[in-house]
Amino acid sequence: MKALLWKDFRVNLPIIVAAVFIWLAAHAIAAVSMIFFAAHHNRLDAESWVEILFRVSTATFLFSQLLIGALGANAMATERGDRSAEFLFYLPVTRQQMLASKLLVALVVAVAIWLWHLLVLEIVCPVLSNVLHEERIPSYAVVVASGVSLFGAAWLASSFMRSTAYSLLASLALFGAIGAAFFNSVQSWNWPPEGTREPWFVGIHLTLGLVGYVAGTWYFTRRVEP
Amino acid sequence: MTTGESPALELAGITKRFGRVTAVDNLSLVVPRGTTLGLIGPNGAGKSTTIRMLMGMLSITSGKARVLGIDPTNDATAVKRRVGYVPEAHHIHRWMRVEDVVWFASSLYEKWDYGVTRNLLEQFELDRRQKVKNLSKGTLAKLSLLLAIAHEPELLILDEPMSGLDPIAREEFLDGVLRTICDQQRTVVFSSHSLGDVQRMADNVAMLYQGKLLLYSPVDELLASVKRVRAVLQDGCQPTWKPLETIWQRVEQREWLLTVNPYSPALVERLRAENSVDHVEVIDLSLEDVFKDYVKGRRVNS
Repeated sequence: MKALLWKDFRVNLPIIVAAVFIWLAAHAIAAVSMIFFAAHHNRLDAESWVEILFRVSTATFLFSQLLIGALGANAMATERGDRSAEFLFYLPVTRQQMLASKLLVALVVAVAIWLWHLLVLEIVCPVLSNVLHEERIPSYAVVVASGVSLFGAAWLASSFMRSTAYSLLASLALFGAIGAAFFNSVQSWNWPPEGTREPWFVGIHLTLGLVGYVAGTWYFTRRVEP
Repeated sequence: MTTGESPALELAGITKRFGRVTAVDNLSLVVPRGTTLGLIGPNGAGKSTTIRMLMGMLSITSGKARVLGIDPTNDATAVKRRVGYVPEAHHIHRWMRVEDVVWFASSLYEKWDYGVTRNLLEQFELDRRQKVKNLSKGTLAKLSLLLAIAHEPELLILDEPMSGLDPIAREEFLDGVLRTICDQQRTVVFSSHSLGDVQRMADNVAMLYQGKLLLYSPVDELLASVKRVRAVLQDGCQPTWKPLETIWQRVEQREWLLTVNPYSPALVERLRAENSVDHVEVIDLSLEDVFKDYVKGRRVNS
């Protein structure tokens, strides 16, 4: 199992590097913008820095859900695409072991992304600034549910596709379609009613993620061919 | 073979269909332990499909297969634990280094012979630090052979492992295989288009054609049994009697060539008696000639 975890970590390394790069790049761009802003307006205080850290981290938190989707899309499709799955399939590894390793690596990366952003948004920013950031759109539950939903749909697509990019696009299309249907339902029928929309959104997306994960796992373990 | 020990391979009427195409058709075969089987046939004969079914990498449409007594459709992992497999194309993760590949594979098997690994790395001149993406096809084949041998498999299955290799790489690869056979008395099943290598290495040969088993025989017996008869017909004469044992024949002007199985001196006597021939000679054939004549004969018949 150790070898499989190592292999899956290496397979997902580009996504992990992308996550770190995006976070750093977003903050670097924001910092440079702040410096230019300060030079023009002759004003640069600690509160502004914390504010920018908070806003940019919120944006990368939203964007990183796409990377969590990419982890699901990368799970099976990438190795089928470059045919390295065939190498795995003549080694004595069960499909269940392969999937357990892929899921574990994806979970660790996803939880690390979530925890890192929670650390920045909930501990670092409040400690550095007295200004409270209570207004947060969307809530953590909605963001995490979106990540789970994208991951599950991408995992399902990855179980039968040969391309990580197409698997991710398929999951985004499904995510978008459900989002559009939800929005349309609110606009047209005012359902779910005000006050219950967030739990409904979270519930629908967690269910989608779970169904995608179960269906993808079922399909992959039933296949005989790599 | 120890009493009570199952054969290395037992195929009972296995068939594989891809939609309407039948790739392997009712194939039955028993390969005893400690023997070397050469699986030969033209492209599309079903060799690779058969091997992939045995490795549990393809489902079997109908029939039963046992590899070392294990059903590969029910427990492919148990088969893979005891079988070394070298595929035709090597799709090892390209970003891995040679040492990564060896470590990765070794940690998935219960047994791993590090002495054999060191020896083969040295013998095959494999650079541990080199990445898979930078390896030539020949070097990749040698790395695959190392992975297939180092876990001490009871059965080694090679699927056209030498296709595309230059003569030196092929020789080194074959040496590695031959050493395994000689040192460990393992069962080896290998498919190849290089029939000279099959003749050199195999105890038995199975010939597939359009998914069907055309013949299965010990190589020595086959070569002793299949002969080409060259008859020179008298001027203006045509063959009037053809032996039932004929696999393939060709008449060109006065020369009449027949490949027969089984050959017997009596057959030649009758050929002389029943036809107007001036001269008859019997020619020994190589495995390659036997293969070509069987395939040509089949094509003419079909």
